[in-house]
Amino acid sequence: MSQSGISSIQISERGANKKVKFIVGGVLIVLAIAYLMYAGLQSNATYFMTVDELYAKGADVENRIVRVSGMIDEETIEFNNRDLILKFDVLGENGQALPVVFNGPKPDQMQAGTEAIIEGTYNGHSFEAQNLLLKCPSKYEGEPEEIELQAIDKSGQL
Amino acid sequence: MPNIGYVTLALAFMLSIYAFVVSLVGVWQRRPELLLSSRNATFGVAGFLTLSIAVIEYLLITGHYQTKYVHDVSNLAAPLFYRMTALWGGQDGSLLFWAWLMALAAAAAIHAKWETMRPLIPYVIAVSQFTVTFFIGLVIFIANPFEQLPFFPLDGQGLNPLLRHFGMIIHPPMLYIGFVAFVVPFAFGMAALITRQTGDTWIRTTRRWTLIAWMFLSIGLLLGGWWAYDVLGWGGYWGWDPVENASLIPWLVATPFLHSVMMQENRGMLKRWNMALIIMTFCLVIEGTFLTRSGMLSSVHSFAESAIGPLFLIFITIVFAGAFYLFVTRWDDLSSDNELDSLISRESFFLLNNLLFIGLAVIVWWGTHYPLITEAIGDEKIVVGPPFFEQTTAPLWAALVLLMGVAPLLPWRRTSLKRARQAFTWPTIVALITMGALVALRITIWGAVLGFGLCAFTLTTIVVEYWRGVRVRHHRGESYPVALKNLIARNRRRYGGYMIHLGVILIAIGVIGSQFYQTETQQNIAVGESMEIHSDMFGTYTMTYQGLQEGDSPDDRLITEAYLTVSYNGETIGELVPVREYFVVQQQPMTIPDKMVIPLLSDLYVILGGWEGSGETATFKAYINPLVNWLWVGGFVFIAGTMVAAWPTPEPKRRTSKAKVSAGSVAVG
Repeated sequence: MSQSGISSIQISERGANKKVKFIVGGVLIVLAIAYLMYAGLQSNATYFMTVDELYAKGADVENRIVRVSGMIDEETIEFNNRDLILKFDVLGENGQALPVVFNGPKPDQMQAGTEAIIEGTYNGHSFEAQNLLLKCPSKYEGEPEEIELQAIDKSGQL
Repeated sequence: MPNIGYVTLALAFMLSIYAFVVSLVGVWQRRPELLLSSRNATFGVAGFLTLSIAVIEYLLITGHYQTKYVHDVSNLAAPLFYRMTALWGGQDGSLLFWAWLMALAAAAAIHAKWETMRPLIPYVIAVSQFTVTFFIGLVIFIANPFEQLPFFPLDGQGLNPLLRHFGMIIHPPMLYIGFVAFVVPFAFGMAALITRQTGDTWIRTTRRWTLIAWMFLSIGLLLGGWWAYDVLGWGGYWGWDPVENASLIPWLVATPFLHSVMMQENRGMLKRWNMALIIMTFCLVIEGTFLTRSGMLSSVHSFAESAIGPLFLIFITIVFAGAFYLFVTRWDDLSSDNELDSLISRESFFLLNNLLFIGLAVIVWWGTHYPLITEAIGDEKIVVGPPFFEQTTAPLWAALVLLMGVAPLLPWRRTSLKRARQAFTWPTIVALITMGALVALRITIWGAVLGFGLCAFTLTTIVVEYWRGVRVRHHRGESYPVALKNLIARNRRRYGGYMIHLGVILIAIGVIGSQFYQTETQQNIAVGESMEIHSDMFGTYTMTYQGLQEGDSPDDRLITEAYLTVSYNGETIGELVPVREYFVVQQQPMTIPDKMVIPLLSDLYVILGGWEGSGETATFKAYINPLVNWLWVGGFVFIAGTMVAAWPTPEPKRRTSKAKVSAGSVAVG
């Protein structure tokens, strides 16, 4: 600490200059973080909509990753257990059906009154789901029980 | 019996209001007898709530199913342990538990600091009892666990099966303790603002409280990850779920607080910043609780939507507005004693650390609330998933790992570039060698190589720090183990801190390995057939399906076990038995993974996805999770380090060790 006598005089002369450096540095870092966040939102934002909203948007959302919620139509469930291909329809509020294809196991919880939240892409005819989340009516404090499944990643690698 | 519980609740409620009012009246009218009375009232609040807890526990243990809460979360088949822990298995009970813990924390702090902190105590009582009143009020008026059913059920519904896991049993109380204990530094901070005693007294007084609150929060987060990995069966430990984030965000603000208080203690700087951080931490704790409880965001943890939401919003607004008002009106009292000296100093790296942590907190907060924000302004609900959080936060985590290596080696005030260069020569060399070795081992994802390199750098600086201290003592004639022990004992805060950093690095290694190199596969196979899983890092495992076995368990579970033999390079190395349990009463299935742990390297993790008929064919999902067990090891080191740093030191000893610290830092500077 003995050298501080001389250098503190130098420091005080350069004080204003230094303050500017700190502020500039801080602002740069804040901007960098803001940019990271902006870029992250641009590439990862996913619309969360109902079946009706999906049809209303039509071509706008085709081939973009979206999240859709709707009731599962039990009558339409088909499952090929050898290749793990699950097909079912989810229904919109007005009864419009959206055919869904999910490449993965069939969850036990697909029963009457199950709401599904599917994440994937709509190609104009059917919805290819990468994630399937089921909300089942549960007794626990009215809390819906949720089951989440991921489709098989065909490359086998993440 | 339930009536006794309710009455004690009501008494606690009235007493907490009394303590709040009387502490303020006492200080304004300068009447010490009123202050004494309000202090005793806070003890009374804690006492009456303890009685309520005793009553609800009695009802749970004896199976009083007419009490709605007991009926909802417990049943006859439940063993004693689950009956007792069902206290926090549902909304009403856990809120009461929360209020009780907070009342205890407040009473303990007020008791401990009554003599030494006289001027601050009245306001500490007022602020803490205001908060406690709110929570007891919620329990009494909205979430009453003593509510009776109009009929007499013979049995209850039982605890949610997902919660029947040791990690899940202790995860909530750890988080709760972490959350509620922040009321103490917050209350002292507010008291310091009100009395304009804005030096470092409030920080020194509450340093250990903050550290302990932070430790419990950390334990809660770690246990949550462990539970998710062990029980939930999706192969991961952190899902960026809104409720997980709700407990991470306060942690992200409390962590820089723990660092920057050192600047206030040592240099009298950052007073405004520290005050802002503790206000934010506490508000985020309350907001996190609100998110968890109100059902605003869909999550695996969500409680039912309830009337609690709006009340919480009002409460947060009052707390925040009050704190903000005090903060602004005391702005000038919080001015800094010192200026920053140099860009290359510990101070400026602490600032950078603070900036990065707050950046992380903002990112996680924003991503978590994005659906709410977009729905409120644009009428469109937009969500962001784990990739958003991973991509956006990864560079900041990496920068923090680097800072952890750099900052502790830099002296306070300033240093020369030359000296800085000297300090970092070895760590840089080790990092470069590590990265070269990894590339030679065909680890070529650049993010992973860079990440491991940063870990190697910081790990080396930590080892060097310990080594330097131990060597000096060894020269004075202490044997190495004794030297290490004394080194830590004489300066717990510093070397405990390094231990925490060490734990973080180990956790980081686990995260990097499992994030970049996890492989997964899913297949439907018949008995006798095999499936393969390949990892570039660890080769190929072959699993052969041997068949399915079903059985009952005493507490109404149907247990289905699948048997798989595992071979590696053609050699059989063991058996895996993933399980599917079906809770008959609750009609809820639960998938329990099985894993083969290769210590320090990887986990082979298998889930039974489903089966056809009596198990002729079955679907399995398998993961290779490289380095994931470093996370748990790192977690232990992390918590051990926090305990070392927070361990109480007897008074006289502390004075000498403090003298040593300042002597030490002068020597370094």
